[in-house]
Amino acid sequence: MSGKPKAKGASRHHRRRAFVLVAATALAFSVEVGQLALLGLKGSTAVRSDPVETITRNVARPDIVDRNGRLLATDIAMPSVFVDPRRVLDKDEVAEKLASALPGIDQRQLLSDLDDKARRFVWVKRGLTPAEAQRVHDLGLPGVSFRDEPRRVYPAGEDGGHVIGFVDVENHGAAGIERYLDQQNLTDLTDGATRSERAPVALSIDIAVQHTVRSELERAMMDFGAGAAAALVLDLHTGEVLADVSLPDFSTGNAALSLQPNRLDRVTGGTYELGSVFKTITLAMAQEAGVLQPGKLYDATQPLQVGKSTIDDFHPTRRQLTAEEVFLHSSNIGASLMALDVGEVAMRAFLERLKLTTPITTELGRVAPPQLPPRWGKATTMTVSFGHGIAIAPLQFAAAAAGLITGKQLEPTFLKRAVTSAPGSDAALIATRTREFLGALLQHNVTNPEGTGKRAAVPGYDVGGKTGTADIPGKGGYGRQGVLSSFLAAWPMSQPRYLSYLMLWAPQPTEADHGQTTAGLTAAPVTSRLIARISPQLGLAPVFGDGGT
Amino acid sequence: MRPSITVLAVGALIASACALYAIKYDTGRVAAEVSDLTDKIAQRQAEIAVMRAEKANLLRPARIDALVRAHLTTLSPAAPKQLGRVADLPWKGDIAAATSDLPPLALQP
Repeated sequence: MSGKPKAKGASRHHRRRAFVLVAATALAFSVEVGQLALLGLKGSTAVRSDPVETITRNVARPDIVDRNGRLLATDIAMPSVFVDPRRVLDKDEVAEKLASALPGIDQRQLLSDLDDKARRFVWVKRGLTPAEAQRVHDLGLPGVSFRDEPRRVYPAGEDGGHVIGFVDVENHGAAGIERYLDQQNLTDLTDGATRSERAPVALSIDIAVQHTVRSELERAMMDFGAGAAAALVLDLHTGEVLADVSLPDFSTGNAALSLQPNRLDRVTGGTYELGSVFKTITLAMAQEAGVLQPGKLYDATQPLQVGKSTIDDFHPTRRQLTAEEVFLHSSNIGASLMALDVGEVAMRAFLERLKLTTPITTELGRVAPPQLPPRWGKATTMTVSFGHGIAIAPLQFAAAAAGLITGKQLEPTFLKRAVTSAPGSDAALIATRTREFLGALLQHNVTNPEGTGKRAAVPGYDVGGKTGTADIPGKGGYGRQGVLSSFLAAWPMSQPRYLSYLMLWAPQPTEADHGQTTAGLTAAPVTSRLIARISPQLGLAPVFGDGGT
Repeated sequence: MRPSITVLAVGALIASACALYAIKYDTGRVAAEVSDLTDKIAQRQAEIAVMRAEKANLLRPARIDALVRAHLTTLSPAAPKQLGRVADLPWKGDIAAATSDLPPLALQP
């Protein structure tokens, strides 16, 4: 900018100043580089993060819906309250005020937690209601903060608790389908209260049918003064369990109750001697083995003597019975004679083929394994033929019966099946002739006025079924604890679509029933009401006229 | 010529600095808006989850059942005889023709 030439001395002076400047800068940079290199070599031991207590990560769970998409379990964000002990001014005040605002927390435990100044994070209570959160917020205590967490809620209330299950305080599945979700890795770890992005898990259960079954069982327990009741409904095409009710039960909101042995899911969690309903299997077995010659008669004129025990009939006929009459009158003597004709080896093989001798599993876990007689002799062969001396979980028995009614092995499931027919082998489980023979027996047992199952009839739905009245074993031998009355039903028998198995524990005799507690007077009429109510819910239209009854 | 180029360069520098500042400022504002909206979406989703749970709770069969029993005391569960298909009704002639294009009831045969 200046046009005047510079003096030579001044130029040299400028150059020296520039050199000093460059040298100083270079020195500064090399010191910095050296420092960096030293730090790099020494590692990061000098740099340490402040140790902070690990905050539990939350679990986001997919929704659970019923087979028609109705919501049964979902995550909602709820505040949890925690304290940072280092920021607390007066720990006694904090503990006392929190305890009064949140009933149910342990004040002493909280106080000792707050004493530990090394901790930066102490849970006070998780999953607060909005009102509780407001109360804590209004206290305005320093060091007390909130954190949103996903909490599991069960909008269906008391229906379906045994199948849905429940979660623990960290939102991990602890029972039922909830535990299955964890086992199948369908849950995700999250920070905060993020919702799961996974598709809802659809159960095989229809919650409307589930509720109807539950309300009918509740009514039956009242009517008959029964101590417990259970029922299941199976789709015979797919093996889906449409309803699984066991009373007394527990609400998913009160999971602690599920630990009481009386409240276990009797359908999958207990094994029982089922009684005469087992004759369904005996008759099919005898037909399959080819021992039922036409016109063959079974002598039921007097009780059978086997060793020390006597086998007699509930409804003694004291005459010669045909195979069909053995079923209609539920003759223990006749069934025993049939089982002897078949023989113990063939009998055991048949039970194995029906998967009644080995434990089965479902999404809910292992079904209570069958209890087989330890030694299988002539007496065992005879008692098993009418359902004593062998204890089986109701679900496992129902699946085997379903196999006999449809002719195909059925695998029960608690999840909705995408396909319309059950997976697995289409190979026939039993001969078509056996299936038709058994179907006719079940049908006649309800339509015939002499049949034990006549009270299970539902106009328009062509019901077939078999009663079972078993003495409940207990202190002092059989019979002191009352009976287990049950009814196995399938409908419509022209093309069986649904199967139900209903049980009443220790029903008390009522006046109307002349002091009788047999299944024909207890479980059968309840099954009738059940079928009449749930069939329309399932979309099954009644057929009157030629096809129905 | 030279001074004007310098002036232009300085002008361009200032202009681009201003533009850069404006863009940076805008980005910050938009980013804040995005995080604000994300928060709001999460909040709304949480509210929707609560309302879906409440709706399912209000529609649970056990509650409807109790309400019906308490208030609709003259009703009882439908008996199978009360169900039927339009085709089964004993209507004849033009009445049947007039109703033939109606959709069938949602019941399987």
